[in-house]
Amino acid sequence: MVKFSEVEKHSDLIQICGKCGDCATSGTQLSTAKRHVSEPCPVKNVLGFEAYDARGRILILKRILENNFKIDDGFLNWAYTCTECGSCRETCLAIEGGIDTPLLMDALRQDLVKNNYRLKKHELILESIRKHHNPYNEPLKERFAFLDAAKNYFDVKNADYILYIGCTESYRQQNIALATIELLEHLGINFAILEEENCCGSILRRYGYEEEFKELAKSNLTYLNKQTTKKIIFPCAGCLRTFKLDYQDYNSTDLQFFHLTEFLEEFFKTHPYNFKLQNHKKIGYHDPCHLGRHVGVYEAPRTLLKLLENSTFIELDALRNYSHCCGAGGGVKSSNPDLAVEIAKNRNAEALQKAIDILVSACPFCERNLADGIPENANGFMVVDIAEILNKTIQKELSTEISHLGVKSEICKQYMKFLGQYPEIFSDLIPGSDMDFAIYDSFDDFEEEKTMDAFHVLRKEEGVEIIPGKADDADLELALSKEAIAKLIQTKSKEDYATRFGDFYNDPSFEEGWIDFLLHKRTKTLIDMGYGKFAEAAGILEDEEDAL
Amino acid sequence: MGKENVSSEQFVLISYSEDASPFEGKEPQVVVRPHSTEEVSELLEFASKNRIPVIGVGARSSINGAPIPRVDNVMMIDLTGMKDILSIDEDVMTVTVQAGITWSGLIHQLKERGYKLGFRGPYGGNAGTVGGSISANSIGCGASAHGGACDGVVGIEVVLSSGEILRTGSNWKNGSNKRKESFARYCTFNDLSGMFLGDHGTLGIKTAATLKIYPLPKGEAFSDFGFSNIEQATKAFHEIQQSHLAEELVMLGDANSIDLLASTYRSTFKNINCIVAVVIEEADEILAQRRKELCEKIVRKHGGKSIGMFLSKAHWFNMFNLVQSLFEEGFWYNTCHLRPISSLPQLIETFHSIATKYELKENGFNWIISALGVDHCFTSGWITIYMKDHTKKDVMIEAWDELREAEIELEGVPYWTGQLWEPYVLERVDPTFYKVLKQLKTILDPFNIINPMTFKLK
Amino acid sequence: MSSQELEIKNKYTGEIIDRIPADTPETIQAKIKRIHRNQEKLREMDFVERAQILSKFATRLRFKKKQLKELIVAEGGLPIKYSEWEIAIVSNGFKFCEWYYQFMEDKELTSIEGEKFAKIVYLPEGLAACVAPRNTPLSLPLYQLGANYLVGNAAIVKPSTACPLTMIEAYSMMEEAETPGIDALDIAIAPGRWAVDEFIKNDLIKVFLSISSSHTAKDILVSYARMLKKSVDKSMGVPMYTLPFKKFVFECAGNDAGIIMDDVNLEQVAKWNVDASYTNSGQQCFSMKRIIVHRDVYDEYIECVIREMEKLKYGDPMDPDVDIGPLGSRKILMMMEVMVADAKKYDAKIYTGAEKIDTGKDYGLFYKPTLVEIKPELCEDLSKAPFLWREEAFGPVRSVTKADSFEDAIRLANASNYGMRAVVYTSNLERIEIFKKKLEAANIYINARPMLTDITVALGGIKDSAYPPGAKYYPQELVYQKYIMDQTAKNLDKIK
Repeated sequence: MVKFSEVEKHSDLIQICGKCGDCATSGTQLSTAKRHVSEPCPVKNVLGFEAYDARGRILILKRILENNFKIDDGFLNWAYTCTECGSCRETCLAIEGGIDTPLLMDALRQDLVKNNYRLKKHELILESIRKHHNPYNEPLKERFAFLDAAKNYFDVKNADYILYIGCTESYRQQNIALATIELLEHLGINFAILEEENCCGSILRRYGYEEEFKELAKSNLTYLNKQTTKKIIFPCAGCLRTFKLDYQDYNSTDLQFFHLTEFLEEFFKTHPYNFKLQNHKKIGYHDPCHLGRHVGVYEAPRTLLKLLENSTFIELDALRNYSHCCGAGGGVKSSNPDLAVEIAKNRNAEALQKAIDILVSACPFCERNLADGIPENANGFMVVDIAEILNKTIQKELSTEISHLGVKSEICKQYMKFLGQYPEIFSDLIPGSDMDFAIYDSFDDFEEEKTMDAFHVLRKEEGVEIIPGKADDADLELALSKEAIAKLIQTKSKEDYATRFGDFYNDPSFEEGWIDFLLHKRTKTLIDMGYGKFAEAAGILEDEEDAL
Repeated sequence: MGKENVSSEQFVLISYSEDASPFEGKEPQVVVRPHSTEEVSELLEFASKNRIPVIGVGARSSINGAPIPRVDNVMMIDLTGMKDILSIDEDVMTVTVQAGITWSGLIHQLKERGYKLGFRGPYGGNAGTVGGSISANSIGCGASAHGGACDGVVGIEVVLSSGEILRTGSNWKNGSNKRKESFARYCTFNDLSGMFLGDHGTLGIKTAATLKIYPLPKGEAFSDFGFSNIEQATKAFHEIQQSHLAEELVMLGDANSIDLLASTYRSTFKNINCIVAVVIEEADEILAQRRKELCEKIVRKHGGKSIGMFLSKAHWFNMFNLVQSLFEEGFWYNTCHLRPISSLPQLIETFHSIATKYELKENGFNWIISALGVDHCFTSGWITIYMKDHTKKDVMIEAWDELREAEIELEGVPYWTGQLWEPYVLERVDPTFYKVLKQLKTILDPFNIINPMTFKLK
Repeated sequence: MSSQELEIKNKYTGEIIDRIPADTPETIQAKIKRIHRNQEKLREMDFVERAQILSKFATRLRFKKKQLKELIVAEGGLPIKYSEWEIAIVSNGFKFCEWYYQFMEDKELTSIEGEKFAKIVYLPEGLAACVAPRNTPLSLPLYQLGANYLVGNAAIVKPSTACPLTMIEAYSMMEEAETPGIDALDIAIAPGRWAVDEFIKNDLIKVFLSISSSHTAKDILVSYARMLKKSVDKSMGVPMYTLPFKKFVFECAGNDAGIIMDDVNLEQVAKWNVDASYTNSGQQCFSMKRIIVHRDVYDEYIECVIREMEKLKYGDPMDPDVDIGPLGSRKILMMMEVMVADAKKYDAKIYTGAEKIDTGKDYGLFYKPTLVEIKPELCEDLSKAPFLWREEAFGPVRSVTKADSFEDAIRLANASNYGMRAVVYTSNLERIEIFKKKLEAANIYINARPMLTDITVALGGIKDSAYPPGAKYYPQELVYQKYIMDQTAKNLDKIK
């Protein structure tokens, strides 16, 4: 006879359920307590039958405890359809914190394993973790193959932080790992990667392999405790949740675990950076279950997303602790891939309904699964990880190269040097842009095209190069009177410079100073090259706030 | 219907075998989830032909055991997949919904359009469905001004045991009518809607209902009143309900109940043993305040005093989220019924003597006594006992039985009958009344396939 | 008619700013002949060259900003605050006028068989006569002139004789700079209707561009019809009209609706609303004239608007703090009084204003910014609606109306014989799409601030706001399409 001893341990939870049905079918709640509950169970919403929501699961477990039950394949499959997202727990008002159905499902799965109901698929994953240190059956030595010169990253002894990549980002969502590494390097973070990084084992616990999980957890912790660096950054919300929550029983206290977003939020407080989207987009955020409900991190990702200039942040209706699961958790992505994608479709529909262009998540499982569930006519809707969007939009510091060979006048030299301090003025221009700065002694000279001196600014990938003389194929010419330049190089800040620059253009005077420009290419071409934004930032286009 | 909407897997059947009550029954043999009236019609036609018993269910958040099959081999028709709003008609101020829509979902969508319902759901309205509530004569939020669930019905769509589809109210016209939904309930013929309302799903399976809607209120007022004894509280409660002043009029009937839900009051006002809470909705602020003043006058007349707005506001703003937090007290054994308001003090006294007799407190039980004024002039009586220790179940059952016996003897009539009240009502029902019910059943469900055994009609 | 002198007076002080000679029919005919002769000079340059020249001219305008501003203020009565916008909008347009090339690029056409032998090219229509209104001394007449120059049409522009000096100054600047092709452009100073008749009856003029009230525009069409009739030759039995076709492009009145829904920041929107409604004393065709507010926020919104209106300062237009300058003419003052009196007959509530400052002369005239409530039921039958609702109020009197819902707001906005612009403020993304589709106007602005200097801003309107109907870019209106099918590549061998 099958003994469900783990489930038995939680029989009080099963008893206290009043079967009110909120976890099963609650419609959108109106409560002013801001409970954004709305059809909480992602699995029930797809599969429809009561068996898949918390109330149904509890009834089934009750029957199991009464020993009035036959275990068949349908039942075994059912046991692994719960993503363990915890929406039901959040909705439940029966006890403080809600009845923990994910915990009950974990207990059931442990009992199934103990009683030797082991699914073939799961056994393979267990093997894979044992042999290859990852659940994907990929070779161990390929773990960091996606990273060029990975061995340069292994010097943990001299690092301030450990970056725990995780199996999913190492073997599957490598785009996120690369973006994370690139971003951290750009920020100058002194981090290292563990040469013998192992699977966190989350899937083992989710599939009920509790003994094996414990073993792995202890071994991982032993390895970590050996390192001199105690601060560990996780780009994967799943790994973070596992280390922070599931390892709790075995954890030694001086290890500190952060999610990437928590780390970045803190870092940007003292090291501010700018982020800007090329084209305006509406951004939404999907709270991953593992990061939000399970570990309690809601603000950090939002704070980061609100740094993105040229974007509008839109909250989903089911947000924060009421966020709807993407469908990948609890092992469902591997045991029931079709179900996972159907759930993702529902979540994406919520974003599309709010006209969101980019849905950002903070977990590689969410990113993968949501991306798999994007409908066909989605009109450019995309799902990205927060590391990716931050890495793509960070305003990188530009370098300046100045050469002085052939410069005729002192004032020209000084202006070149002055501009060299502010290469970011040219950040809106695409690499390859080339603009002339022409200095004129008088307006008449300008009319007669008699330049006193000139240089051109070539925008390159890493920054700008300021070169004497005019360009062979300049996009446009900025014409300045020497009086204007003399005053411009006296300004003390970039903002001051822009203001005076705009003034010389908008209210020019033959004596006091003037600026004009000549376009050498089609307006449309110049706009596409970024000159429109450049002109706006330079104060050349009237700032509408001032106009009236 | 698609394979994904039909299941006879053991684990699925188990998950449909209970509602929110302690009652048991039979597991269905198959569960089906239709998504349209046509599918329901086909299902019933099929069931009729093959003499398969069926039962139509909503969220099964009931506390009376009604949606649990009483016979074997039942086909359970789970209507929670039919949850759309079919139309909102601002001309005649109705909303037509599929029967499986939850009250919470309906309220939310109506609010976005600028409307509210009259009766707007039992206290389990997060999950509870319109179809379920109107099949069981539900009482709940908004009943003080608008009556019970069925009072708000303007017409229904119900599938008969033959599979034929019946539409009631002003929707009696043949073929291509301009208006697809009913706008008047009592018009040309006898009120067929009424036949099915409260039938506990025995005469047909409801697939859609048309309900009355109203504009959102522009003025609201809240007030809690404390009384030192139940007699005074009841008099005030009665007069307020007679004067039809409140959207929702609630009473907590003894000190214990107040301690459960609003203990802060008892620490501030030591002499309070009953609380009457009033929620007012009106077309503007001034009218709302005026109603409140009239309530205050009535309360003062009967020796009560204003104690704040905590309970009424919490009750109203946390609609549908009140009952669940009491599950901590233990499993709930309900005794919902209706009675004349003047009989409340005697009911409560009777209950207290039962509580003493069975030493409820000493056995670790707790209880709550509350009443909700119903338009137009009676009250629901809700005495719920909570049992934490399952070993004491025998005591609970005895006490529960005696309580229900007393309630029904003391002028009470149950609503949402189900297994909760069925034995009590069947032994008291007038023979002529019962004969007519049975005749209707025979006519409408000749093969007795719809929810057999309920009310033992055949 | 003998040559006369016109006195151009300061609209605030009444002082004579300058005296200029007026044209006569003869001088105008001569001017037309001259510019016609020189049209080729324009066409010796290509679009890009002409665009560069205008771009350079924009620089000169910027240099002369101070003097131009003073002239605009003096002769137009525009507050100096607003004259900056006057100059910026036309100088920006000139600076970047190459942008208009997208409307004139050759279009290659592909046939069903996939062949590419056909194309559409755009060619200038020919001589244009332009009539400009009195509310913008510089921007509109100069835009008319510039647009024609850009596409290669010779043009003669008649600025309003109430305020021609700024335009004359701009033209002189072009002459001074020896702008190539300047001989193909000219100015006509002609008070009275006769100049318009001269333009219409002149065969050389192919395009007639005018900015005026709808009624004046229709009147011009009547004149054209009369002239057509006079030109009839019945000798062949069938009436044959010898006066050639002319292209008429009318920019007329606007009675723009502004819709404010119940889901926006009322204070912010009220600020923008007051800008949109009362800039230049409301003497703008695209001013927000009928304000439509959702009933749930109506009272609160009125409060916000009144607060903003009370901040408006009126007085000496040279004072940089002044928002409201003197009215353009006594006629406008009278029209405002008539509209308010008419509204009162319907028991309309007047929230503020409805007072005039009348010096008794034809200068220094003010009407206080006024807000009148018009009940929605009055607007159901346009023929019986208040005058203020039906017609354009070309002065600082505006109406505000309550709407029950967004559908009601759309209905009210469309209840008009005009359709120039419609403005909406709402945060409901789904409804925005419905507004875009259903609002009957040629230019729809959603959640945008007013008085944009964006180069994409179009003129035009539907219904009585413009003829032909539609949003317009002048350069696009001044060229015609030519279809060219060249199968030489395919057939030359067979033909040679």
